[in-house]
Amino acid sequence: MNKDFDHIFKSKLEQHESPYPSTMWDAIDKEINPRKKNRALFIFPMAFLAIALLSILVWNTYFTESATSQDNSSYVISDILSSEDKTSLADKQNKAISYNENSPDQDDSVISSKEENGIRNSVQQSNILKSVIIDDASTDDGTTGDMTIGVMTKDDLIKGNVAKANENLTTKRRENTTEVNNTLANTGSKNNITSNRLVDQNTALEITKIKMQKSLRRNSITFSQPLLRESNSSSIYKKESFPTDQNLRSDKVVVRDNDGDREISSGTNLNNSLTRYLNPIQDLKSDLNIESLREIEEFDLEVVLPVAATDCPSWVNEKLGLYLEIYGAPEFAMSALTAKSRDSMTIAHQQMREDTESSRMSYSLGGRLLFLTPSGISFKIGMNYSQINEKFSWVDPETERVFTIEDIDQNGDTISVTTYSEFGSEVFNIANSYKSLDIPILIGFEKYTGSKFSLSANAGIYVNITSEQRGMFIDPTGTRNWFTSSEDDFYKAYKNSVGISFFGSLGMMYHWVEGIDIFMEPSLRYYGQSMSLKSYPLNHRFVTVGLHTGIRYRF
Amino acid sequence: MSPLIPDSLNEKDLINGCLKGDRNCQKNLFELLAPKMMTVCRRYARHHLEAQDMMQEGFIKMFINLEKFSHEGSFEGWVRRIMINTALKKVSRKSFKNEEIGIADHYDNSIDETIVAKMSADEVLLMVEELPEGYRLVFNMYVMEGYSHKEIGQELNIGESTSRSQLVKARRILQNKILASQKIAV
Repeated sequence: MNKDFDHIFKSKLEQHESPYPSTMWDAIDKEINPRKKNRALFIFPMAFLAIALLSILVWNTYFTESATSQDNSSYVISDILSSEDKTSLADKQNKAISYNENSPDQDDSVISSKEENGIRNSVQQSNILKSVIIDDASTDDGTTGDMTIGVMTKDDLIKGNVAKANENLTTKRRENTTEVNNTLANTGSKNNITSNRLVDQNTALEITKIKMQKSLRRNSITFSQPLLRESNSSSIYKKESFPTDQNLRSDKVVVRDNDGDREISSGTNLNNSLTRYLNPIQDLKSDLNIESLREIEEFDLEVVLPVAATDCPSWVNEKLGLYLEIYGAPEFAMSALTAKSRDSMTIAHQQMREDTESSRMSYSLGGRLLFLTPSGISFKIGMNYSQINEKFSWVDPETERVFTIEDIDQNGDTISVTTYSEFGSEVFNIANSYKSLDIPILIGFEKYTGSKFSLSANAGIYVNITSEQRGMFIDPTGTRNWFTSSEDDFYKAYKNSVGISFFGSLGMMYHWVEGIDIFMEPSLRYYGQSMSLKSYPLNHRFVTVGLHTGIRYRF
Repeated sequence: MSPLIPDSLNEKDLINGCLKGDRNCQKNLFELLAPKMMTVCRRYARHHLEAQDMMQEGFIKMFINLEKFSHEGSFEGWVRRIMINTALKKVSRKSFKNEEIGIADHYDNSIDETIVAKMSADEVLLMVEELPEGYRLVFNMYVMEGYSHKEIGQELNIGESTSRSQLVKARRILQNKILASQKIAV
């Protein structure tokens, strides 16, 4: 009897089929075929930050090194020039300005000597804007023969004579002189360096003169001082920045005897040696007839170079201050849904949402106030509106449509009402949107790169003021539902504020007209906090990649 | 068979496809077996959600260990065994603490078999689901899966006598439920 009883149960249940959740396969599929797409959400921000940091590092290194490492001796000279250029900028007048840091006695004599030594021959009617005099008064023991001009190595400055050099510089500046005393470790000689650097605004020529007061005992000249060089400052607004976009070439090199009466040697084929940053003068020796200098006690070397009509664009000096930026940005948003727990229902819900929602083109609009400091550091604050767009696609296989047919007689009275249902599938394609209004707070760095372009890097946070989500999704019960708060019976899954998100961008600015720039910034924004409520089983974050394009106006 | 499965694909083709990592074959195989396996899991689970968890875990094990299937016996039986083993691992040992020894292995057999025959499978399944956990396990293993009391004892780490007593109690409860439904029907 027991067997009969058992058989009844077995026969009833052995082949019985029970319904199972439609989301179960998604959960199983996720376990046995793990996906890697969420990694991109972490790789992108990390890669972006790495690139940004690397760019800034290379940037600073390049501009610093390019100014300081080309020639050690130019270190001091550049400092002097930069200092004077600042003064020149502040006092930008059309009149001829002379910065003579030598003693008054020397100043008169040197300028007089310059004029006598033939500057007029190459540059007529020159208005002297700068004349930095570096007097080479090194003694020649007659044994080494090689003459080195402007040698005050950076190593010397760093290792032992920095304090002394600075003290000397400070003192001499105060005394209106640039005489720099430096005892070289290798020669024990004392060098007083004299250099004349002239910019002629009218003829667009820059003349560099190096006055050598000592004789040469050999048929070679060793110079370690570049004729021209860029500023060693990282600021983009240094007047010292030479207009390097020009094709620099020398028009003339003249070597004269100590009286300035006789042109000993001249050459014009300096193109090979004058590169973007101008190689040291020793490269010139092959172009000069050194033999003729053998018994010359003192001579001047002139190199005449073409420069811009003004050696610094006027708008560069106007970059400091307050700006207003207006921008728009097409963006692509990547959604990251992560389960708060590993139970099957939550994982299945996550999978269902990932399968039914896809990204669409998003955008941001906004305005920012920007304060740019002289060092190139910028501070930005403003207002930003972002809208992340997605598409919800879902085929509901069990949709029921109810039709009601009402028969009405001639008098308008209802005769009968017939209701019938139609079952089938219904396709839902809903545009979902995640809107947010934020205050961007950014810090940045801008670098003038020459010509009319600047580069920038920005990073900071977006503080959310309010946010709104509209659309449809598969809710945790497995049914489609609205999450729009204005809909009836909506499923409340999202917060009214999405908190803080992180922003970074690299930009390029084109200085269009005076006071107005156009900029483009590839940007990345990472929503650090989940948009979803604590009660909702999934965390929902976004990463957006965009291209901020806009215009900025200087007040 | 699921509409996604082409007619030319039989169970063996699906298994081979799964072994090659074909996701469509995996899905089709799942859909082929899932309804029956859901019934198996429901018989062992305390509630519907637990049954779903059992089934999901069981299928994951099945796909991961698919290469171990030797093709010698029934594939459905192999999968069913995986489901049962998965279910048994979730069984609480507390279910067998209150065992009673010496209960007579008989019960009131005044059940009209025609009434049981007229009951739907869902009604029968519901009765089994409502059994206390220990009774339900033994009843399922003995009646549905064909285990002996010795095997049940080894599997559940209980004595054979305990297994027998649990089975008797399960039958008695089911008998009472059927009688109750019989009275309602009358």
